[in-house]
Amino acid sequence: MIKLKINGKTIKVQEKTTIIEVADNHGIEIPRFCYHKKLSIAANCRMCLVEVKNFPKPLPACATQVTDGMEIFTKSKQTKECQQSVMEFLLINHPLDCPICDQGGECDLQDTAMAYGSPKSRYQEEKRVVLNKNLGPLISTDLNRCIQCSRCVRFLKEVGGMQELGLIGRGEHAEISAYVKKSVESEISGNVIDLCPVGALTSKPFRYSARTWEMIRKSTISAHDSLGSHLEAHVKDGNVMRVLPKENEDLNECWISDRDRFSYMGINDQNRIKTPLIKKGSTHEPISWESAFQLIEKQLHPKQNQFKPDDVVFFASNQSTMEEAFLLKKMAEYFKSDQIKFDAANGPTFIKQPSLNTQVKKIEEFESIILLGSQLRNQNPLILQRLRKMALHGKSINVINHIDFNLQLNLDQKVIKPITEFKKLFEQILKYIKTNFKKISKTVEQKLSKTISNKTLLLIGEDVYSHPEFLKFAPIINNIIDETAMQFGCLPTGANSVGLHQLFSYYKNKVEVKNYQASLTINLDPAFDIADSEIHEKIMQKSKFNILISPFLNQNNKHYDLILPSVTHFENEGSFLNIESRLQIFSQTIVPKFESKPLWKILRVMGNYIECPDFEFEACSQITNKINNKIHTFKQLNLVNEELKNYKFNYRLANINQSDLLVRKSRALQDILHLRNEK
Amino acid sequence: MDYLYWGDDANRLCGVLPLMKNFIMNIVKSLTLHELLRGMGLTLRYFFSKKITIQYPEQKTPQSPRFRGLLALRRYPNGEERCIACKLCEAVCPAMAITIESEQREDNTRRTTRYDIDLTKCIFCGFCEESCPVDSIVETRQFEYHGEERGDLLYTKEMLLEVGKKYEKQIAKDRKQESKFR
Repeated sequence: MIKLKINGKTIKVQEKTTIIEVADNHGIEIPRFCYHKKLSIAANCRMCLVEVKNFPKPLPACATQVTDGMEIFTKSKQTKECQQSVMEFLLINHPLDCPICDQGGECDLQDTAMAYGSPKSRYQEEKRVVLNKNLGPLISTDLNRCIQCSRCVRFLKEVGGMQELGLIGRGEHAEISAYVKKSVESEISGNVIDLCPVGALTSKPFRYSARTWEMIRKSTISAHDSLGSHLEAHVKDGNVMRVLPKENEDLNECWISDRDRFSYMGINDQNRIKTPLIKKGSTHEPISWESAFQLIEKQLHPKQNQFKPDDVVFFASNQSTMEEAFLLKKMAEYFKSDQIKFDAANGPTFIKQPSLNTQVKKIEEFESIILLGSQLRNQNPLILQRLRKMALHGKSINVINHIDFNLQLNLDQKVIKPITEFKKLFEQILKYIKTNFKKISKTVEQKLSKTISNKTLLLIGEDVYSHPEFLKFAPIINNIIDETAMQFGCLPTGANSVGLHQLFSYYKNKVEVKNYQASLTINLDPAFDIADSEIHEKIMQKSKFNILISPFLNQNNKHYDLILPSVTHFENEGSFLNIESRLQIFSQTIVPKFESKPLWKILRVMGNYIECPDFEFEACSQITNKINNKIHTFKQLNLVNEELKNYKFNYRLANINQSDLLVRKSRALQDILHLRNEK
Repeated sequence: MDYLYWGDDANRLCGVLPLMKNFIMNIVKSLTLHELLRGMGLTLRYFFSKKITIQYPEQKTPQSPRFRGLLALRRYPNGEERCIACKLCEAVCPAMAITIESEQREDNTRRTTRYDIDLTKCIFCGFCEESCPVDSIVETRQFEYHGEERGDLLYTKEMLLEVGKKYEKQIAKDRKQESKFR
C-alpha cells in the first residue's frame, strides 16, 4: 500500500495501479477515449493527461503507475488547458454530423466535448475524408468520425483473438482498416460497437432506427448459451430495437456474443405463427385458442382416450425455462410417460448433472486448463474469451479433441486424435503421473502429465460427455483426479441444460421409436435441433396426433395436426440455471406478438383441459417457488450407469449462427453465415 | 359595527378618524358623479384617437417574421427534403406533439418514414424550430386553418411538406431576415 494525494485528498492505494484506476475507484472523473479497463493500454488519445507535482509535463493517467507520495491534480489549470487543447485537436477532423449519427446522445466525444472542451471552434480549414469500409453485415462504418483511439483494434486482437482490424498510415492519414476485401468475422465482433467512443463503428441492423433517449431499457438473460449473459434490451413501441451487454464481472464481464446481440432481429420474422393452426388436408387453417384447447382435450385426455403408459412423447428444447420444464415434467408424469427428450445437440449424456462445478470467474484462477472435446468457439464464445485472456497472461491452455478447431489462442499442447484413442491417451498420462516423470518431456502425453496439478481445470465438452466412448476413459480421468486433485467442469451448451439435468434424470434423454398416441414438439425445428432427426420423422409418421408449440413455423409442417404459437425468448418469462448452477430469473421485455402466448401459460391451460392435477398456477413466479434448486459440486465425475452404451452417436458440428429458432430467423446472423459459406 | 365603538381610550379614536374621512369623501364623490365623469372622459379620449380595430378578414394586422403559426416541413431548392430524422424536435417538444420514425433510405441517408405533428397538442412554442439543425421544421405565418374533426389536425409528413411547399417563399424570406439574430 502506498499513499498519494489526488486533488489534495490523501488516499491509500495498491502498488502497480495506474492513476486512472485509482481515480475511477475513488469516483474522480478523468476523461478518456483510448483507455478501457479490459483492454491493453495504448495511451494514444492523450485525453487523460493530468498534472503531477514535480513533473514538468502533464502525464497520461492511463499509462502512469502511481508512486508513493505522488500529488495528482485532475482539475488544475494546467490539466484543464491540456484537456481543452486535446479536445480541440480531436475535433479538428471530427465531422459535425451528430444529428445523423447513431451515437448521438450516447457519445463519449459529445459528452467530453461538452464537459471539457472549449465552447468555441477556431478551425476554419477543410476536414479530412476517409472512405468507409465494409466490415460485414453487423458493423457499419463512418470512418470520418474515427478519432484513432484503437480500442476496436485492441479488442479484436486481445479479446477476439484475431487481429481483423488495424490502424494504417500515420498522423492525419491514420485510418482503421480491415484486411483487403475481408470483413470482421469474430463471433464477438459486435462488442466493437459498444467500445467505439464515437460513431465510427455502429450497429448495421440498428442503423438510423431509433435514438438512445426514446428507448426503455429492460434487463434480460441470454438464451443462446449456457453462460446466461446479462443483457439489456432496448425497447421502443413494443419492439426490441437493439440488445446491449449489461456489465457482470461474474459472467459476461462487459461483452456479449454476436448471437446474443443480434438474435432479436428474428422476433418479427415472416414465419412467425400468428394464431393457432389446425391441419385441414394438406394445409393449415387458423382456429381460435378455445377450440384448439377443446381439440387437445378430445385428443389428449388420458382417461377419455384410455392412454397406456408411454403413449405420449415429448420433444422440447434445451432452452426451456425451469418453469416450462417443471410443467412438462408434471404433465409427463400424469401421462406416465418417460419418453421425453430435451434436445441438446447430441442426445444422452453420460455424466450426472454436468455443470461447470466452479464459478465462471474462478476459471481464471487456475494455472492450466485442459479442454477436452467441445466446440467452444461455436458454443460458448465468452468462456473461450476467458481462456484467451488466461493465455495472454501466460497460463497454459491445452486441447484434446478429435477435430482441430481454431480457437484463436496460443495453445500449450494440442492433441488431435479420434475419440476412440482418448482412452489410451489418458492411460499414458496417468502412467506418467504415477511414475512422477521428471525427465525432459518429449511426447505430448508427458508434457500434458507435467502440466496437471491441483491448479488444473479439465473442461469437458458436451460432445465428449455425451459420446458412448466417454464411459471407457472417464474412470481413468477419475483416477487422474484422485492422483493429482485436478478439478473438472463440464461445458453444457443449452441455456438451461443444467436446470433440465437437475429436474429430470436427463441422461435418459432418448426416446424409443414406436407407435405413440400423441406427440408434442416444443420450440424445436427437428431439421436443425434434433441430432437424430430421422427418428423424430419416423415417430411423427406413426404417432396419431402431433402438436407443435413454437413461435415459428418449421421447415416441414406436414405432420403436425395442431400448431400453437408460443413466444420467443424476449416475450417470455421464467428462469434458467446457468453453467455454474446460478438461478437467473428474467421477465418479459416486450408483450407477446400476435396471438402467441408464453409456453408456461399454454402448458398450464392445456393441463387444466386434460385435468392434470395441481396445475393452478397464476403467475410464473409461483412455479419458480415450487422448484427447489440445490447447487451440487462434485469432486469426481459422476457417471451414469452403462445401460445406454449401445446408443448410436451422431456427432454434429455446432454452428453459432444456427443454434436455435430465434438465431436462425435473425437476418443479420444469417447474412454472416452466407458470407462464410461463399468462401 | 365594532369599529364605530367609542371607547374611552384616545388611541382608539385615532384609528377611527381616517375611516370617517373616507366615509365623507365617498358621499361627496357620489353626489358629484365623479366616477361617471372619469369613465366618460376615457371614452371621449378614444372617441377622438386613431382607431386600432381592423376589418378582418379583409384587413390584417402586421406580422413579425418570427410569427409562430402553422408548422411546415421544408425542402431544399433541389427538391430534397431537409429533415434528417435527428429527432431533436421530438425530444424537445414539451407537449409531446411530434412523432417520428426513421430508417435508412435506399441512398443510405437518414430519413423519416413518419413525421406526425398533432396540432391539437401543439402549443406553438417554437422549440422544434429552434432545435432543428437543418431548418426543416418551421413555423409559418399561417394561422387561419381549422379542422372539423379531431383527426383533421393530426398533420402527417406529406401534409407538412405541402404546407412548406405552399409558403416556401415567405418562409425563406423570413429566415433570411432573421438569420443574423439566430
